[in-house]
Amino acid sequence: MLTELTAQDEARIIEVRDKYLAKLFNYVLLEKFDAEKMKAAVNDLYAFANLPLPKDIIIADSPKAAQKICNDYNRTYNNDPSLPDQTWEFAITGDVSDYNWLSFYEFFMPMEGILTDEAKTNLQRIIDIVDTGIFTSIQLEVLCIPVKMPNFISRDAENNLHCTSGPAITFVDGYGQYYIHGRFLEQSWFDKTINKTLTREEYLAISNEDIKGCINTIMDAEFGPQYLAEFLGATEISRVTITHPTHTEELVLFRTKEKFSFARDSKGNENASLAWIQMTCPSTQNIYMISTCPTFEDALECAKFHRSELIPKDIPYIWQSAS
Amino acid sequence: MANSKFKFTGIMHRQGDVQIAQLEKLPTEVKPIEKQFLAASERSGSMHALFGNYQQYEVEGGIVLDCKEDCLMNHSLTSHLQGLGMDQVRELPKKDHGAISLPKGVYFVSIQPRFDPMQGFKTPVKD
Repeated sequence: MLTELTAQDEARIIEVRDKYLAKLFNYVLLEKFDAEKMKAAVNDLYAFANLPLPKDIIIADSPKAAQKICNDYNRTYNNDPSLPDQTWEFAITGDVSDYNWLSFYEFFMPMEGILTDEAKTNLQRIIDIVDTGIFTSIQLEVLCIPVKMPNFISRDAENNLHCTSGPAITFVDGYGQYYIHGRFLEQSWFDKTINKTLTREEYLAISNEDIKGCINTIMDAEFGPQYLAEFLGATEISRVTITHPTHTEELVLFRTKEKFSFARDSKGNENASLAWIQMTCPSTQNIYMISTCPTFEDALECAKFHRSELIPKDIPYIWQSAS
Repeated sequence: MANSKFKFTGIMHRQGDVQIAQLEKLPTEVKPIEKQFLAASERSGSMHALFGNYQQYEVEGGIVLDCKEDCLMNHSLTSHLQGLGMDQVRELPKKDHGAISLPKGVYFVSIQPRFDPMQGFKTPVKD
């Protein structure tokens, strides 16, 4: 029984980890792409699972392309052109989702007495399958559609998918998805933001704070810290830095000079200004502009307003832990 | 509008828009409920959920938790919870916010409010 690791073992943990990360994030497997090898790997995956081999294997350039291929195939296979598009489930075997357990067991492969010879053989067989560069796949009885690896992945310091200037992940056919600090953002919101065609009225009508948080973060990164306030027609009223036990937080209070007939303050006064308190999430670093009552002059007092009514105002605005 | 039934210690925690304020003791007239998510996203399929030995209570304006041990609050995809109960302290794969530990004690949980300028009052943040 293995009870401790040597320094060489510990060094090899990093080596195995980095090898697996490079397969995806350094595009190592995409560069080695070979269609015939990938098709053979799909057949071997079905054989390994004791399933009949699929009649057809069609390689897709992206997950979106895989869905289109599958829907077209479904209509042809059933000889019914009226069949509507549907979303086909992606499998979770024989692709990048296996990297976690494969890398774990690959570490033990060269060690004596840990894995049986049969386990090593089976493990190597699966490694050979995923090493043909299958990102994901749609696995059906008659058809399998393996998807090629992405050709661009951008992440933040926390390894979340993140890019403020374009898609955070793209595939060879140009399909991409947008993420801000790990949060998915629809392309329509990204395009409007980056092209500066988003209007203040559209922004104010967004009820979901995560969508607004993504937009705020793009504006801040791409157009500078003053842009968001200018976009909202607001000026800074108050700024305060709070030192919590685990982190430091900067709160900024903004308010418009302009008054709006549709807006009211917490006292019921109509024709009020609009105001926001800017907070930065300690986990994601997304910037939130939380709509607030325009009567505040102090960011700290305003922050206390954004707690439950049941919490007394004399309780300090300090987070013992926050994430 | 502080509630005299709730005696706060002044210690507060947060995980995203979920705010957790420690109470000195369990308030009277609270209604026990089955364990459930403390909050769930409308959009991303994520949830805030507490794991460990605790009793959950429903109160006006939020939730009260009576943690019998140090519990762990996760922010994860609901799909990661399939087949798992919330009775054992466990860390799930993180969605956006890291897990936070709630030491044994009683807590009041609420969602960070935003101000709706159209209506002139506070409403819970939506994500």
